Amino acid sequence: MTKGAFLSELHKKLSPFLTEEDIQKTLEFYSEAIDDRKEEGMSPEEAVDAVGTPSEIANRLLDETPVTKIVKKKIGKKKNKAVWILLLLGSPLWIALLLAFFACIAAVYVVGAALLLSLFAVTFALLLAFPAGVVFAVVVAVSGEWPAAFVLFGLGLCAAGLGLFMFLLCHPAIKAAFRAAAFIPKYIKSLLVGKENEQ
Amino acid sequence: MDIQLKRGLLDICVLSSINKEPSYGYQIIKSVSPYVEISESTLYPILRRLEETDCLTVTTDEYNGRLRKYYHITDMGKKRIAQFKNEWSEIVKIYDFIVKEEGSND
Repeated sequence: MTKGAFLSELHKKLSPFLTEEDIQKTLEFYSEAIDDRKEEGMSPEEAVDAVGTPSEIANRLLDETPVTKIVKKKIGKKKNKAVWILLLLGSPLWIALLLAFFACIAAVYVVGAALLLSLFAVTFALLLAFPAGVVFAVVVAVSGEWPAAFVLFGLGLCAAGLGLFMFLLCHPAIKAAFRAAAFIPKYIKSLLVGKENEQ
Repeated sequence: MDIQLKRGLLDICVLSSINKEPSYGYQIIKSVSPYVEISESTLYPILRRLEETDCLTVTTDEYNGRLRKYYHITDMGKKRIAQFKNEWSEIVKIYDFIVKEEGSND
């Protein structure tokens, strides 16, 4: 790749996400790096190869760029007055929609937490069933009803067994919940940035 | 090297390479490369981050008829290097712990 092609490719990859000022600074940095390497004796192609591919560079840079900067750039693209007025007029609508969107996301988190808590509650209740079963079995046995006592004891054992099984499920459930919780903000950012993956 | 570990160390390496005197992009890479793998695509975001956190400033000077950016360390940058040196003894303690725990599994 020639230096010119490299710089214009890099410009293309960055222009949806960064301001022109930021992009110029980036291009200057890489142009300088290529020139320095050429001065040391590298051929133009070697120099361009050495600084990285435009995709690599753009991805690393965008990873470090906060979401707010990217959003600002995407909004600032149309500095048309008419658009701004429309935005203002429409604000009751899109503000309400935005709030609804975030409310839905919050609801997802709340439901997730509720499901997790329910899992714990059921596990705990089932595990408690065993000592409860023992106590009741003893009480019933003392009053002479041996068959009933055995049934109660057996039920207690079953419940405890189920409870232990649910307990084993708790740990993977927590891990999955945390991973899902972390995934949502990342997904939103990737919707904005929409990076291509070169593998 | 582990990416997370590398990230914190690279910032300090870059600051150290401009500690004694200002330097420019390719020269920073040449001075850090013998110790840690680094290329322009890694270096540029680091320089931007350090500038945003006031650890360095940038000037553009003429060299051989073209313009070159030079990076100068600030007091804040020097403080970060000192902070890293102070944290080193803690890092050594953690390393000793890891080695010790590994040894007891043999």
